[in-house]
Amino acid sequence: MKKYFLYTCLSVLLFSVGCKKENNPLPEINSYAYIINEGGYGFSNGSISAYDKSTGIIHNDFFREKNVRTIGDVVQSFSIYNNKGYIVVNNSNKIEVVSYPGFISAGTITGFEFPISFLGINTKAYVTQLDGSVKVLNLTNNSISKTFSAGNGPDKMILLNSVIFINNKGGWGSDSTISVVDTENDSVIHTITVGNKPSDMVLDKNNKLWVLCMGTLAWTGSETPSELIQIDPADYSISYREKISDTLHPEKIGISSDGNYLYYGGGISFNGIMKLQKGTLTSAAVKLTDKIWYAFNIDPKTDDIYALDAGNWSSRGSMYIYSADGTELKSFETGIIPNGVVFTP
Amino acid sequence: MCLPVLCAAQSYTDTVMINELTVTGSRYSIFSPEHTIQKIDKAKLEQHSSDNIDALLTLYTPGYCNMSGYSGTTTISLRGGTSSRTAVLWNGLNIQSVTDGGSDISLLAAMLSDEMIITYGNSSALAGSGAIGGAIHLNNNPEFKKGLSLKISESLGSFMNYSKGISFTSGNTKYYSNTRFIYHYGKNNFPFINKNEFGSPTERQKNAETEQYSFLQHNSFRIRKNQVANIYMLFNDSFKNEPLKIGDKTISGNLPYMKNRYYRFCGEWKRIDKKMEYAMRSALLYNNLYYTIPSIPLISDITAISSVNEATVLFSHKNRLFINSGINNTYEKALTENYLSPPHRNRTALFGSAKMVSEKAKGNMIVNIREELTGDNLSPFIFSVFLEKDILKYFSFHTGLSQNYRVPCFNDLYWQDIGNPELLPEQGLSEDVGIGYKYDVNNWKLEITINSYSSIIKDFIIWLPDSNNIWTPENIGRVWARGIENFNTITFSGADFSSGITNSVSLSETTFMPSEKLSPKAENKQIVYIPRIKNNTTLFFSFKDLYVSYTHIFIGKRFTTTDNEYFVNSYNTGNLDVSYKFKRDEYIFHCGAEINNIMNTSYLIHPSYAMPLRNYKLKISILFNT
Repeated sequence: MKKYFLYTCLSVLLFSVGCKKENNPLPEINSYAYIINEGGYGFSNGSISAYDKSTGIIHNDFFREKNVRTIGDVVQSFSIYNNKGYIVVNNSNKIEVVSYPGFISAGTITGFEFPISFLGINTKAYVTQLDGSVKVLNLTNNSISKTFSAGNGPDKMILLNSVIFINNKGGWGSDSTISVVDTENDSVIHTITVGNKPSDMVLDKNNKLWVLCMGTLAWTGSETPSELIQIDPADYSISYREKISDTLHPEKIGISSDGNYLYYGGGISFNGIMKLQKGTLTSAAVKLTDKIWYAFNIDPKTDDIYALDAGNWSSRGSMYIYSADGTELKSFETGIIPNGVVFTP
Repeated sequence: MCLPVLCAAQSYTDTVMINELTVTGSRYSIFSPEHTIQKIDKAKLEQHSSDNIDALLTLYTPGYCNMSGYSGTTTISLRGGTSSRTAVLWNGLNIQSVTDGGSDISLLAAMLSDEMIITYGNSSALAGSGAIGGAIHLNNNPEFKKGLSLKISESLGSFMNYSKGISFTSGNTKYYSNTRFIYHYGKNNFPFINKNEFGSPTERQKNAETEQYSFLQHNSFRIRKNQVANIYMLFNDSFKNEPLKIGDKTISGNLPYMKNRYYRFCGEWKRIDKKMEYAMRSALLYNNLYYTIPSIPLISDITAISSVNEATVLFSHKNRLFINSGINNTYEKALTENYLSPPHRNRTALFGSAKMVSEKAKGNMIVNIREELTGDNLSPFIFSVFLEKDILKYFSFHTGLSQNYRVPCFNDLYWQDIGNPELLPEQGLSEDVGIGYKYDVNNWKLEITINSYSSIIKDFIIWLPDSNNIWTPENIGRVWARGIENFNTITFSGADFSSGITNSVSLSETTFMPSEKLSPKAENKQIVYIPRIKNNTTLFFSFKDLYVSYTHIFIGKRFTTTDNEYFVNSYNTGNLDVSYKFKRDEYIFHCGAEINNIMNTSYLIHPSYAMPLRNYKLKISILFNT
């Protein structure tokens, strides 16, 4: 009897240990959202925050937590490509490479002049720079193989088939073009004229390119309207164009997972995030929140809205998560000046 | 009793000082309470003749020097007061920038001054606007004695740093002329450990080259037995590359740099009768600052011009009663594209002081008052009252109350599109209290001074980003600066030798008080870049003509964001200085060597700029006297 009791206890113990392991699985790699925090200019306190959607816990200073050092000055963007993360550090003129999902430092790429964003294609990548140029990287040895010119302040890049669309946001001046780059020979093959300061872009389910042109702000002395534009990538023509406002200047655009709704808002002067059903005018857009957001992104899996508040621009910012209909779900502190969210693919 | 730290330090000197009151020194030295005065003597200035004054302030005072890199802009903070609240006076003239309110003390060569005095807190009634935290006084004192003196000095240090200086003095009992020239160059390509990079590699600092020329001409004339005239001319021309930030991988040549040029002309006259002293002075100050980031391109070119006229009358009676009154007019103008139109303003101040010394000089009471008209705006009534009294055998007690103020600078008021002409001047009520202990028997000297202070500054001006991330200046409310300063000296002096320890400790808490204009995250938080703790300790030993000193510095954590979430770590460094003097005929040779950061500490002052590891310097000077 004692023997059976002992065996039972041991079995229960072993089973419990086994259960304990299964009750604490490692976080799924597709459950993270990475918040890009620029940091104060000149203070080298840019950072990446990692929000674990499965646990609801945010790890601020995630890069420093993993690598026991800071990233650098003005973290501008972050991209995940081929099991690596590429952190573009604008004012340190470098790209930090990390393993993904481990986030362990795997090297530094230098040779830039105020880099903005990164886009990986096959064994190469493109990096836009504030001075109007685009660097082509050879990712096999992390070296720069070519440089070509786009417009003023080339910003974000979207790949469609074998061409890249780059919005030229203006840089130190102004611009109103989209550059079309051929990835075979790494050169601009077409330039599309849109509205003033194209600040953001998204592709919809029909592979049409939506461009948000924020217009120039009033304090410049030459204010221009904000516009919503759709481009047909087949012939680079403008298939839709609508003025949003003469005096309001949203800077960010997003799209729902089903492609039926566009979201626009964010920036330093626009109040709220607007939800627009495709096919309707912006005058019919619904305002979801009543706050000035520096930026926002849409979770492609859940359609939740991740809205970023830069606060007083010199201490920690905040992230608020809303459902697709604008119901506040959660809020967190982030690093300084959060400017975007990257969702795990 | 002045603060003990440096009054009892290294006492040898190459020249004999004739104790003369000068226009530049009389008001400040008579009417500043002794417990707030720290004097850096001429020997210390000579020991650091190849440095700028920021080195002396870092090593020997509780003041904190905030540096944008080893070769970058450096500002001074006293009693948590920040740069624009710490006045810098050159021969009594306030040389704080009229455009940004501060002063880059890395451009002020130690060799150009005969005397450096620091007054802590409570200085607005004497020094005017911008002295809430205190004042740095840089003075030149003429010596009417017959003969010629030529001094040539040179130093060579790590990172291709070298300096050359020359000082020529001639004169007699009626005439004094001193000419000084110093040139300094530094490549500053020092190695540092980059803890922001994978593997913490050792890298070389880039783009930190500096070059500086400074020239001083001082002429003094004894017009009559009781009348003296002084003429000062000071030129400075400097070039500084902006040091590349840690981790910045820029490879192009279009890197930022700064040129700074200033000229100062001052003429003064003084007449000293039995009981009365009359003084008048006129000065013209010119400064041009050119800063550019070629890659953008961004250019900032600012010229500031000031003219100062001042007249004072001093009455003294048996060294027990002193009464002073005067008038000062300062005209300021700035020229730059950063302002919509060239701003200018007139400031006229009436001031008065009285000091009563008790019998046997066991105590004194000082009262200073000042009223200033800035444009059409009358400043708040500014005053300071101090009481110092010997109590018991070796102890003294001191206390003070003062009202201080600071008028906004031109950048605050007129910067294009974002300046705020409605800004109110800052004003603050300060109080301090403390005790001193002095024991001076036989060859031993022990001095301890403890000051505690508290200052609430109203309508504090700070630049903050608005909801559009555009930084604008605002009066945000109140700041409370309080703390404790402790100065200690133990020395033993023999026939041929002396040794001792001097130490200063500063505990400083400067926080934003709750305000509707301030983020709640910043309330009751330490103001950025002001350490809570600073400790300097110097051990020194001299035997005949050999002098050895070791100075250890501890700087506490400094926050870099208003919510105090981010900070720069505290650190310890130490400097060893050895010098030897010998004479051959009419020549006096002075040789020395320094090992700085002897513990090879990897530390930061600003989070973005590296600081050098251990480094060295050799120095030599030759003095010829007739």
